[in-house]
Amino acid sequence: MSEREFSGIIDMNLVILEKSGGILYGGKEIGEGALMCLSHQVELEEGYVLRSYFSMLTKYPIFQKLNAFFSSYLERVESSPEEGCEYPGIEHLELVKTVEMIGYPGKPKMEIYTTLKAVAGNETSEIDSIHLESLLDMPVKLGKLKHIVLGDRVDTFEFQTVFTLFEFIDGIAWELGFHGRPVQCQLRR
Amino acid sequence: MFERILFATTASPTCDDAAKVAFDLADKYNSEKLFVFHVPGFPTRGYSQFLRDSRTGDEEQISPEYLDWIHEEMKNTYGTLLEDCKNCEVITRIGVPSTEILRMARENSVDLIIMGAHTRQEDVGATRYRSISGSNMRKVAQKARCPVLIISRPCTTCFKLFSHIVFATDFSKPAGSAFQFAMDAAKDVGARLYLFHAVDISGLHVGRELNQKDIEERVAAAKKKMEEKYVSKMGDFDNYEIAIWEGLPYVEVLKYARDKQADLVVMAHHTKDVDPEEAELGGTVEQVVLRSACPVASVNRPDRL
Repeated sequence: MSEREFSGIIDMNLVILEKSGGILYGGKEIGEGALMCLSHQVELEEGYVLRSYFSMLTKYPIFQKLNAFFSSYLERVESSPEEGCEYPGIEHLELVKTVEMIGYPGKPKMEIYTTLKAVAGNETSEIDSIHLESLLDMPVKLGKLKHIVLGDRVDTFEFQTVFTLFEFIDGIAWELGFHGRPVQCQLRR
Repeated sequence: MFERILFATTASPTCDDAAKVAFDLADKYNSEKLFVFHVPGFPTRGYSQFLRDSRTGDEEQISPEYLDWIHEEMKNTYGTLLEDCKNCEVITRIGVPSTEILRMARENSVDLIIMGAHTRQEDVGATRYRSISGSNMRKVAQKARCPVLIISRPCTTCFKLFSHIVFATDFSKPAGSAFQFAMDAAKDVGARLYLFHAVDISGLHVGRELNQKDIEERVAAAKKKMEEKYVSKMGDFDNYEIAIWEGLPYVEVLKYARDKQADLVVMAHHTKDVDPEEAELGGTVEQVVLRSACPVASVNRPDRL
């Protein structure tokens, strides 16, 4: 039993995302009340992969309304091989939260956003050049919170953090919305 | 087709993809001139001897040495590309970047402006809260009298080999200029032209929800409009296809472009019923520019077509 499960207090606000796409709340799978869990914090079951994320969307179609691209992603997932969709050189995908203090341009401000990155060893990299079909069986993990102060991306602070179910669904969907490289050009000619 | 090209650059890695397209285009079209143009910053006030760097916000003294240094840095940045380019000119000017780019384009009667989508490298997540596209790109696309080609991803095919050009329209007046450019480009390179319109049924706005009959009527009306407005002007050009989809416009444009393996998406830069002088970059174009796998050409005036 984890420290969090043992406390029983935070547990009230926790959902566990299963590898199969199910969502557990209080040890039981949630039904029609899925929307009520959007503000709950998430934990990922061991072996959770990007395909599990899309299985969740299929299992709880109400979440598909959160992003206009979901229907086309699900079509692509449907037409992909059922296993082996992995990209060499990447160990896992990590959802990271960033708090950034910005001094210029414009007035000083603070922004909070999530990013999905590829992780290999201690290195992280962008995934926008990798096609969705090559990422489906990559493990997904929840990362830390990065604090960037006034553009200094080298000396960043890192903290433990939690992600809500909404941040998890929306963060991955937003990132995938920017995916695409014209590989078809190379293939065609 | 592109005699005089202006490549507006921040001289940083964010413009590398745009640089490759610009130099390639100038080479393939044997262009009379390619201007490699950079505006490092704007004077702190009036005729001040100091400038504020437009990327970092740092204050720098304007001196011949400083300008020479920038010029030299530009030459180093594009070293190999410049060596292979016969008619290139590297130009640096102090001022507000968007204003200077437009001024430069006007003074030199350029046929095409090529830009990257961003001034600086952004995390994808960050674009959610910031201006989704670079403000300079937005201002240039809004006011330029010539087409603006915006490159945000590596382009693996050179312009002359483009074989699928998608023209996405909202039937506005500026879309007519975009159509002209798309058709000229398709004829020039022998590409298939896809005329596309998305009927907005996203349900994001308050109003009567469309039923199936309404949607079918709108699709039919859009198809008729497509025939009247564009097909009638094509003459003997028959390498085209019409498609009307329904959904959220930018999502449908991107899905259609992907489906057709588009090499180029051409759009007018703002939504209809807006004066070109006052229009912001259309939300649909902004979304398409950053998410599209291929280059996007924003055209809103017929002056330099």
